[in-house]
Amino acid sequence: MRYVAARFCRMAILIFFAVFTFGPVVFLAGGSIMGDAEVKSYLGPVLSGQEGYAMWRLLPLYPTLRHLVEVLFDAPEFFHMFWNTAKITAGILLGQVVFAVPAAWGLARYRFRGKKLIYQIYILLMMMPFQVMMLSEYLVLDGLELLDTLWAVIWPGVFSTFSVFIMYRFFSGIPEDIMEAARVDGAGEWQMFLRVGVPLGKTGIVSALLLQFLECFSMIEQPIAYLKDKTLYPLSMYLPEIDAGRTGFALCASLIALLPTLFLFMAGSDYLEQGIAASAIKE
Amino acid sequence: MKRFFAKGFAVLLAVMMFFTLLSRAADSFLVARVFAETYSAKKIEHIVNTEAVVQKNLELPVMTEPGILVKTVYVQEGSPVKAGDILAKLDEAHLAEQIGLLRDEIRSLRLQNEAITANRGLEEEEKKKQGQRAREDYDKAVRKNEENLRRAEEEVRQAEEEINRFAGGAGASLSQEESEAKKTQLWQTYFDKKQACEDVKRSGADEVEAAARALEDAQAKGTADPSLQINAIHIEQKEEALEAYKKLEEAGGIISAGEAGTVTGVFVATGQMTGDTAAFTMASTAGGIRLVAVVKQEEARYVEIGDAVTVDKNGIKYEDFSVTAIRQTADGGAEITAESAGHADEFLIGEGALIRIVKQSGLYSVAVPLSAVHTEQGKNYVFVLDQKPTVLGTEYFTRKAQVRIIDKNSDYAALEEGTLGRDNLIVTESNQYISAGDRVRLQTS
Repeated sequence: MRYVAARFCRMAILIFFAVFTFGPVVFLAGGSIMGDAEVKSYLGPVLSGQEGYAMWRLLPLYPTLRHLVEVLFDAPEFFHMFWNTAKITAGILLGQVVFAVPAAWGLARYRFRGKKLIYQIYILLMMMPFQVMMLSEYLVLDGLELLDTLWAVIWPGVFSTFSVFIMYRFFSGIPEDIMEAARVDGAGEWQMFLRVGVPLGKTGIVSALLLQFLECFSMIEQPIAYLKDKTLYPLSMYLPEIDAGRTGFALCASLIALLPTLFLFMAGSDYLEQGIAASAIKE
Repeated sequence: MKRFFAKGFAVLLAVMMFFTLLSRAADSFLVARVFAETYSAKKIEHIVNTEAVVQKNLELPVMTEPGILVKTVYVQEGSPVKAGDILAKLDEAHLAEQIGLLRDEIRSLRLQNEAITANRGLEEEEKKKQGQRAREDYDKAVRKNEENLRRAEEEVRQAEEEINRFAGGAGASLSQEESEAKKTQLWQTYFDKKQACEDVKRSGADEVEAAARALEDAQAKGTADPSLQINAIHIEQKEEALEAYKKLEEAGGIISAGEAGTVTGVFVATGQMTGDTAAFTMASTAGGIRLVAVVKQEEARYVEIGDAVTVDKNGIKYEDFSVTAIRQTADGGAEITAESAGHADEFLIGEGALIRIVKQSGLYSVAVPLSAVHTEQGKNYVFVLDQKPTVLGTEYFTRKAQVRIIDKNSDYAALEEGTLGRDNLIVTESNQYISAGDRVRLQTS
């Protein structure tokens, strides 16, 4: 009996938090098929300073696909920014495959002087908020004449320490015996990395890239700081461009913007769980 | 399930690519495409195009001799004729008859004049004789009066001497009474003679006056009689008419057009007599061509006397016309007259032609195509393009700029300075309705 009660309590708490977690998504879904007038009638006190309190309905009274049609057919800027985001994300992820994976392998598998210090620096940099790094990154990018180009967002992302940290965890978990066996079989260092390390650390690589993807897709501070040319803006900056009177349209655009991350999340949820778990393991 | 979402992600990217293309295509279709240009300095040409009709510039009468029977009329009102064309034919027999009558009348008048001349000679002679007689009577009366007066005065003088003699002593022998009686008698005689002398003087003057009047009457000229001159005039007139009839007879009784033109009036008819007034009236083009056209009120103010006019008749252009008269019409428009001294043989009365008057203004520093100017609630404005950086790149957005039109024609409008910038792109044409703030695509021609 006590067990059932405890289980019920756990479920109730989980459902309570699940409702809070899914609330914004439900809000987006409902708002995206709601007419502007209806949205304004509910959110008037928030959006246009009307008297009273804002309220919301799960299901619209007069559902409409107008906003969806507007986004899909009458908002080329939305797609332009989506593809900017895609370019930035792809650039960062590819860069991390090229640079972060070997870096994490090196840190995890080789013993050299200063290794611990470097790892500590990685941890330190990972802990630092963007605002701390922004000025120095800005100066470097300015010196390299990369400001106001997509590279200004891509290169700092490529060298993000978080992915190295995740992959380090997974590469470190590969048993040394397997590596010794490879050496005995005559595998060189590159062969061991490519034929043993990468396949065995695939989970870490994927989870790191997935987490990085989620971060890149919602990246907003870096574009604001490094991009002036509006044609380079990513999708995360689309909503601020929308007029306040087009709330329904904004909600619909947000819902569509959510889809790529939703799909990837559903496809790689196992990897994500492992990656998040790995980041939580104490050294 | 995971594989499903992984594939779903790939499909999502493909769908996003598809809608990217679709939304760009829709955007390309929905966004207004405009042509724009900056303003320029320009002279505004006011071109007045209208249809005109050739009108008579000079109307001439075609005269003939009166009182002749018309045999045939060959033309009617509106008929175009060349110089020498036959307008009508008169009856030659009737014409010959009229010539004969005229000759008789002339002969008769001449005979009358001869008789008058002869009679006047006789009258002159008689009058001369009467004058001589009156002169003689007058001279005679004067002499007689002088003689009578001399005698009467002599008798008065003798009576006066008698009195003087008596007073000198001739009557001393007489008694007082006899002397007094004698004296009274003498004085009485004197007074009688004096009275008789006065009577002679008075009667003599009357006789002389009567003779003088008779002489004056005899010498007076006779009453004026202009019949001779009147007859001479009549003869002269009839001779002229006879001469004209003879010429008409020599021409076979034909009335012909003296100049090329159009018949505007026919005043004779077959079987009737010709009158004293014109037999025909003709609009001649010999004095040049006159075109008359009506222009609308909004165009009328651009036309002035002396403006050059280009006339287009069936594709042939004439550049030597000019506006000679402008008359305001009831509806506020104007009837303009354009004339040229030449081309008499190239136009026909009543014929249509296109006229074109080009009037050029002074140089306006701000001129835009008229298609760029819009009107709302009586106010004029143009759309100016502003460049703004957007997600899709630098794009053009429309902005309303109020303007005031100074002058305009069908193509361009001159605007007041100061409202538009030198670099402002002004929308001149759009493939869609546009309003302020619209995003547009700039087309280059």
